[in-house]
Amino acid sequence: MANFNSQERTIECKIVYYGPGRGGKTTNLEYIYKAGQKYTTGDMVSIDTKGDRTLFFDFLPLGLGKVRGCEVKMQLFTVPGQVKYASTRKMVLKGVDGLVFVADSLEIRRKANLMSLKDLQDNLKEEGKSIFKTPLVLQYNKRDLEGTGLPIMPIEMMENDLNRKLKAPSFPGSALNGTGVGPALKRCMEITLKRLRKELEWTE
Amino acid sequence: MPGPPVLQGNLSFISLSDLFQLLGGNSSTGVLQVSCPYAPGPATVYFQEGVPIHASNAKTQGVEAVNALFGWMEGTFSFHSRPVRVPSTIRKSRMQIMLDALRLLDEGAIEKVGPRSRVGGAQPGKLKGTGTVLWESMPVIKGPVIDYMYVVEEEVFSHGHRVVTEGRHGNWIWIVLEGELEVLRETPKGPITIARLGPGSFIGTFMIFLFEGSIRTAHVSAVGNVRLGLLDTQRLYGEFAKLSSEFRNLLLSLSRRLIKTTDRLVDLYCGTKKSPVAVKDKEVYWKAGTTREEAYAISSGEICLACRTKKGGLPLITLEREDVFGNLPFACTGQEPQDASVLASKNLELEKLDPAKLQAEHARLSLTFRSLVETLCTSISVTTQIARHIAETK
Repeated sequence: MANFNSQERTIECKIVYYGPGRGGKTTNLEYIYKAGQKYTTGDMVSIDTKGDRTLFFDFLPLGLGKVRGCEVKMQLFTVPGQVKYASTRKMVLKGVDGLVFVADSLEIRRKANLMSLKDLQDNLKEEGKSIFKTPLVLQYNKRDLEGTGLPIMPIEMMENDLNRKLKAPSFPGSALNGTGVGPALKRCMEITLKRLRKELEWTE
Repeated sequence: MPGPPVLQGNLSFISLSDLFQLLGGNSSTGVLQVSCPYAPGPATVYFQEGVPIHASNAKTQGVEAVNALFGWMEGTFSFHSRPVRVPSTIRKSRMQIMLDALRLLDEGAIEKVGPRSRVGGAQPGKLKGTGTVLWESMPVIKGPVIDYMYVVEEEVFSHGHRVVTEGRHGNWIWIVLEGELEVLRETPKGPITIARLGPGSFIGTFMIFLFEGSIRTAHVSAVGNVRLGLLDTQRLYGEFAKLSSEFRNLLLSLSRRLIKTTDRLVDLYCGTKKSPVAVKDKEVYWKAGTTREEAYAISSGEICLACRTKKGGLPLITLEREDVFGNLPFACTGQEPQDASVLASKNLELEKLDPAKLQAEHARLSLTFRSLVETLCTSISVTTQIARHIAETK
């Protein structure tokens, strides 16, 4: 549930990047932070959690306009994947408004993708949320490895694996060179705001 | 702290991270005080425009002091809004502090401090006690620092020395100043450890104020070297005598409750039926988890408290005439109203008490008296947890 800050007249939404370890969550956020510097407020917080770093920063998406005269501020997070970081995950996922699931296109990571998505579903359930009702987009990351000889899953296969039931917007991408990073985030913010408007019965 | 707090509550309801985000979102400036019954003393965090700039708790300052707080699983907090004039010792953003502290907590670098199953286990001591340990994760009961006015004499005991012997007479109360002790109960299956006492906790309950109450109900032995402070019984009695009769009854009833819960624990452990709890012919009066804010003294009839375990309902104790039960936030026993149901006999007659009045009287108690109540309630809570644990594992 988004936070409404009456003093600053801002609405704070929380967007969390989820996915298997070393799949590109932090690379996504690092790219956004670098490329979107004019939209960011404050520093990027980077926590050295084992496996994947945990990142956080505030993002002001100017393009989306104001909602009821309020600036919309996005808080972007990544989540540490390892089981033991339960408290961190719980705090990050608490009150999440939108999700970007970063899947790894490498064939050997097929099972890891599935397990992480299942894990996400369970963690959301603990927060009393359904994965089907939470704004979510998928990003099939590491497409830049196509043609390098490394076995990469075709998009159709990943769609069938991960998105058959979810039917969420999905984007091929390469967080390393920034392809598909912006569109995935933009779409996620759009559907998150749409959901918020609907939930709070805001009409423009 | 001058003036009433602008925000206060319980950490089991609002977690520390939620609280930090709330104060951060409001750009609050002021002082946050956090207390945990299992930590040596309260901690203070200074906020400037929603950002923590300085903190101190018992031993540490700065970030280290804040980090330790994330391990406090239970406790209370209050926030006072006022200008803050302290040198800034923390130079991290709020979110960085939180994420970092939670990482350390998950990695086991921050100690979890709290009661019952919420704590991962007691710290592994170098020395072992003599009783059979029924529950490995039994926490060490601690209290805040003591008001030395009450201490008439300091005493030192070495490892294994018995401070109090079950069945003997005695009406002293000690406070633990240093070290750790174990509380033991004799059972047909040999002595069992029913509690561990650490600094700030007490040996002895309010029962010493009763003529018939001066018989000790458990052994207490030193585990390693300990330093105890003998309390001024006359002074304690003076304060006890000035309390309202309702409050005195409450304290005595809580003391009896501890003994009854321990008796029940021994029964469960040995499979005996020395202190049976009759649930038959009783009807549910309060369901566990009720939000009713009431308290009662029993005028006639009896009630029985029962808690839920993984293996079904577990009758705990019977309370009779003159006993007190209800929802009293300062007397958190791990039993009713949150964790145990109240079953009432048909002939039950109650006298309604005023929880606000009792609460106010509790707030006026001396620090030593308040800590005594705290140790007592925590002991009941721990004993209840052990009983539950036995019922679930047997």
